[in-house]
Amino acid sequence: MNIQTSKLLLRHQLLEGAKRRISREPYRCFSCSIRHAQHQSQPPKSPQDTPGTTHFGFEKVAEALKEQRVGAVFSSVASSYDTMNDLMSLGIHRLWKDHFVRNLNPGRNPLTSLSASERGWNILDIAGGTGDIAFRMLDHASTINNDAHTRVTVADINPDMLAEGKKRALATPYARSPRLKFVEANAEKLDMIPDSSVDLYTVAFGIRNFTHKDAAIREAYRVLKPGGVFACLEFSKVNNSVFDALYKRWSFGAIPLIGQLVAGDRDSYQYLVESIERFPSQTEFRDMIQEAGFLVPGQGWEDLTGGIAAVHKGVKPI
Amino acid sequence: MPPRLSLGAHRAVSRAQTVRARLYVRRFASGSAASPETYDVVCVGGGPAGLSLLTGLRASKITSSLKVALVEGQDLQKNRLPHDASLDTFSNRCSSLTPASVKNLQDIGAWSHANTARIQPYQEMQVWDGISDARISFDWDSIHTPLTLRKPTQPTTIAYMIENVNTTTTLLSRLSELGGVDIFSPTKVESINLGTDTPSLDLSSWPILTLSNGKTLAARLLVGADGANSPVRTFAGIHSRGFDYNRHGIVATVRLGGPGRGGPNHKIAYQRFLPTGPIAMLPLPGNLASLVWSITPQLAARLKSLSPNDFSAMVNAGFRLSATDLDYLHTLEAGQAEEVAWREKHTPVDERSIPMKVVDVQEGTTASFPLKMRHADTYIGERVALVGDAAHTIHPLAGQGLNQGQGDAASLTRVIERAVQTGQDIGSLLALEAYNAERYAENNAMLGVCDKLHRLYSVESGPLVGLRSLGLRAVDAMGPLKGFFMGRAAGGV
Amino acid sequence: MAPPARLSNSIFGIFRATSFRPALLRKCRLYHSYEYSQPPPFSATASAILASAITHVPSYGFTSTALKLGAGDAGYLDVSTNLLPRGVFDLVNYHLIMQRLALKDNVQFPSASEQGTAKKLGIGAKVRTLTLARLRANEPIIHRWQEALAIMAQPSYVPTSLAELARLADEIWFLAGDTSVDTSWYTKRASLSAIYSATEIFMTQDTSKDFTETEQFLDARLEDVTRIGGFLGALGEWVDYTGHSAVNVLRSKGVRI
Repeated sequence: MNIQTSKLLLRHQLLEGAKRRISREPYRCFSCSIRHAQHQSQPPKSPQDTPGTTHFGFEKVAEALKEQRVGAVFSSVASSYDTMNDLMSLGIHRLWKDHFVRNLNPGRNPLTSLSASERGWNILDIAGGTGDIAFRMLDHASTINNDAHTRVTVADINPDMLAEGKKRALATPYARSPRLKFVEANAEKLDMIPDSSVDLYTVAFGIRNFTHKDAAIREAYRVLKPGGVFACLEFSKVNNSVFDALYKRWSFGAIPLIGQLVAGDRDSYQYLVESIERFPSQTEFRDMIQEAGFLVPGQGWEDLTGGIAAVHKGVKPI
Repeated sequence: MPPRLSLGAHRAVSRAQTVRARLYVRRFASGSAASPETYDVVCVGGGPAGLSLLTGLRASKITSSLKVALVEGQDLQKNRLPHDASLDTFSNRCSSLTPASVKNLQDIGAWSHANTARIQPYQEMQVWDGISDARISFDWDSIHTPLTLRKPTQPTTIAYMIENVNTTTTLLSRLSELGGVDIFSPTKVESINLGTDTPSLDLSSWPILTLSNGKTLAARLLVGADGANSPVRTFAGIHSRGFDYNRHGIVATVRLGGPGRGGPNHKIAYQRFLPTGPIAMLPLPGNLASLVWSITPQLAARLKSLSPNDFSAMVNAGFRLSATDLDYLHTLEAGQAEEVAWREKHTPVDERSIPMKVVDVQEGTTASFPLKMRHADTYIGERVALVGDAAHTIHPLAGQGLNQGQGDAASLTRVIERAVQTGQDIGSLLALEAYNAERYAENNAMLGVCDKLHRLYSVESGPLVGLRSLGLRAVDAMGPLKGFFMGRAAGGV
Repeated sequence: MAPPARLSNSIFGIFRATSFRPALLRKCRLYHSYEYSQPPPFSATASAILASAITHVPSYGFTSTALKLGAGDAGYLDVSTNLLPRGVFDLVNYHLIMQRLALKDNVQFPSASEQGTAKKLGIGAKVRTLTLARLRANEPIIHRWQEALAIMAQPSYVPTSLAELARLADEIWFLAGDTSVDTSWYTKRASLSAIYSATEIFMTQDTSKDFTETEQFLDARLEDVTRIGGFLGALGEWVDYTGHSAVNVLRSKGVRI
C-alpha cells in the first residue's frame, strides 16, 4: 500500500470515527458544541478502564492503537505544526520555549571549564521533531555561553516530524555539524542511547502524547547522568478558575473550528485539545517525576501564563 | 484645754464652736479618749508656704477665731536661724522673694521680724545665652524712656535673696507673736483616714490624722503643705503629672572677689543658659553669692567631688568660657583650675556683664537635688487643699517656686476669709473652688513658661539658637514689653 | 517528603498531614521551638551545591558560573544547578540564611557567672556586637555584595529579601536578650533592619582599613535611634502632660469636663 492509500485509509477511519460521534449527537451550532464540550470537560479520571486500553483524547482505544493514531495526527499536522501551535497558544508558545531554554541555560563557557573532559553538554530532546527546542539550545550555548561543543540529539517517533526538522536545520549553522543529530526513537524505549550519558533530557509539548508516560520518565532516568536534569514543558491546568473557564471555552470551541478552517483537519485539533485536558495536573505530574527517583527543585514546577503551560524539572541524584 | 476665746471678743458664727461645745459635753458623758480632737484647719508641713498660710489665718481678724494646728516632722525650734548668726556663712538653700511675696509678708506682719541683715535685695538681672551670647538685662530703671517717668510706687528692686531658714524663722516669730496655733513638732503623721459616722458626730467626710505621738486630729480643712511627695495629696487621691528633667541642681554658697560690679547698693543677679542647663549667681550680703547650676546628673556628681579650687574654677568657667571649653573641662578628673586660668587668658569677655570671680566655696554647702516638674490635677478635694510644692514643683531657672507657694497661701487665706464671712463650711468644695480657680491657671502658665524656656535653651545648635537669640535681643530692645515681663515675674505688683 | 514526626504523632493523626499543608511549608516550622531543632532550610543536594558555589563567589561573583563551578565541585553537573529554582538568588539567599544561623555560634557572650566583676554588657552593646559580627561575615565577598543587592532588589525576590532582613533583625535582638512583649518589639526590629541595611550598603564602598568607618557609621546610626527614641518619648510625655493640664485648667475655671 502506498502512502496515498494509507493516508486515505486513515482519513477514512478518522471520518468514520467522527461520523460515529456525529451520528450519536445531532448536528449542533457553535454554542451547542461548546456546551457539549463543557459537559465532556470532566472526563473519567482513570486512564484505563479495562486492561489494555488507554485514552486517545476523550476516546478510549486499545493501547496498541494509540501510537498509531497519534502518529497519524502528527503526520497530518507536521507541515502546519507551527500554525497549529500558534493557534493554540496565540503565538505565546515561542515565548514559552525561549523561557524554557534560557532557564535551563545550556552550555558552559570554556574559560571556566576546569578540564578538557567537561566540554559541552550532551542534550537529548525527545519528541522535538521539528527542532524548535534543539535549535534554541544550540543557539543559546553558542552565543550566550560561547560553548561550541554542546550537542543535541533530536529523537522523535514520527518520521514526518523528523523530516520537517531536518529541513529546518538546513537554515541553521548546525545542519551538517556533529552538534545536531536526528534519531527516530520511541521515548519509552531508547535502546540506542547508553546509560548515564545525557546531561539534559528535554521534552517539549510531547509527553502528553506518550502511551506510557511513566515508562518514558524511567527511560529518562536511565539515560541521564547522575546530576542530570529531566525538563518537561507541557500544557497544564490553569490556576485561576475564571481564566480556566475562558480558556476551556477557547480550546474546545474555537480551536477545532479554526483547525478545520485553516488546516482542514478538525479531528486532529480536537484530539490535541482533548489530550491537554487529559494530562495530569501539576502536582500529579510532579509526583510521577518524584516516583521515578528524581529530586525536584522547589515545588517541582513553574507555571507559565497562569498555568496554561508548565515547566517540570527533576534532577537525578548522584 | 485652755479657753480659746475671750468672752468679750467679737467672733463670727462658727460651726466649729458648736461642735467643740458638743464635744466638750460628750467628753464628760462618755470619757472616751479615742475620739479625735477637731480642728478647723490642720496644716501638715511647716515650710514657708504652710507657715505663711497659718500666719495669714491668725493675723486676719476674720479667721483669727478658727482653731488651727500645725504638724511638722522636723524640729521647728531647733532649725531656727539664730539672731546673732554670722554674716560670713549663709545656708545654701536660698530663694528669691518677689516684691509681691514681700508685700504678702508685710500684710501679715511677718516682714518686720525678718533678719534684714541677711536679706539681699538686687536691682538688676543679667540673662544671656551660652551659645550665642544674646543678652537681656532686667533693670527697672532701664525700661523707662525719656518720655515716661518712673512712678513713685514702682519698685527699684527686682527681688530679694533670702535664705529659706530666714523666711521660716520670720514666719515662726510672727506666729509665736500671734499665738493660738497648736504646733505638733517634731511629729510625723502616721496615717490619714476618713472618720466614721457616729450618733453624735458625722465625721465620715472629715480627714482624721493619726500622729506619731498618738494624738488623733480631725480636720475640717486639711491643708497639705508637705512638699513634693505629699502624703496629703495621696490621701486626697489627686494625681500629680509632669516629668523629670534628667538634671540636678547644684547649689553652693560662694565668696566672690568683691561686692559686685554695681557696688554694694546695686546688686546684680546673673544667669547664663548653657546647653546642659542654666547657671545662676544670685547675690547675698557682702561678698557672698548663692550659686544654682542645673546640670546632668553625671556631671553634677563629678562637680561635687572636685576640690574647692577646681570647683571655683569651674564656676568661673561656667560664666566666661564657651560651651565647647566647658564640655572639655567636664571630662577632666582634676586640675580644672590651671586649665581655666589658661583658657581665660585667651577668651575675651566684657567684665561688666559677668559676675565677679569666685574665689572660694563655703565648706559643706555644695549639694545637689534632682530637678523635675510636677503639677497636681487640682489643688482642692473634699476638705483638702494643697499649697506650695505639694501642689506644684517647678524648674528653678526663674526662681518662682517659693513665690508661687506664698501666692497660694495668700490666696487660700483670702478664700477661707470669704468662706467664714459668708458662713460656709470652710472645708467644702464649694468654698474651696475659688482658690483653685484663682491659682491653678496662673501656676500652670508659669510652669509652662519655665518648662519651655528650659527646653528652648537645651538646644545646642541649629536654627533654634538663632531664633531664640533674636527673640531675646528683641525683648531686650523693647522697654515696655520687658517691663511687662518684669511685672509678671515680680508677681503682678 | 515525610512530614515532621510531631505532626504524624499528633492526636489528629488520622488525617494525613500531607493533605493540609503544601510541600514547601512542610519543610520549615513556622514557629521557633526550644525543644525541636529547625529542619535545615535547604535540601542536602542544594546545600552541597550552594556551599561549594559560595567558595567561588569571591572570584566569579554571584553568577551562574559560580553556581556551575560549585555544582562541579560537589560532584554534580552544570545542569544540576537547575535544582535551584531561583538561580543566583538562591545563592544569595543561602549566604544570608547561613550567616544569620551562624550568628549564635560566632558570637558568644559570657554568661553572668563567667563575667564576674566585669561590667555587664547592656543590650545595646550586645546588639552592636552582633550587628558588627554579621557585617564582618560579609567581608570575604564584600566586593561582590553590590551585585547581590541588585539581585535581591529584583521585584520577584524583594519579598523574600525583606523577610530575610526581618529575620536577621529578630535574630540579633533575640540573641542580645530582648524580652519585650509590647509594641517596642516591632519598633526595635524595624529600626534595626533599617540601620543594618544602611550600614551594609555603606560597607560596600568603605575602603578604610579594617572597616573602621563602617563601625563609626553604625555607631552614628545607633545613636540617632537613641536620640530620636528619646525625643519621641519626651514628645509623647509632653503631649500627655499638656493635654491633661489644659483639661485641668478648664476644670479649675468651672467648665464641666
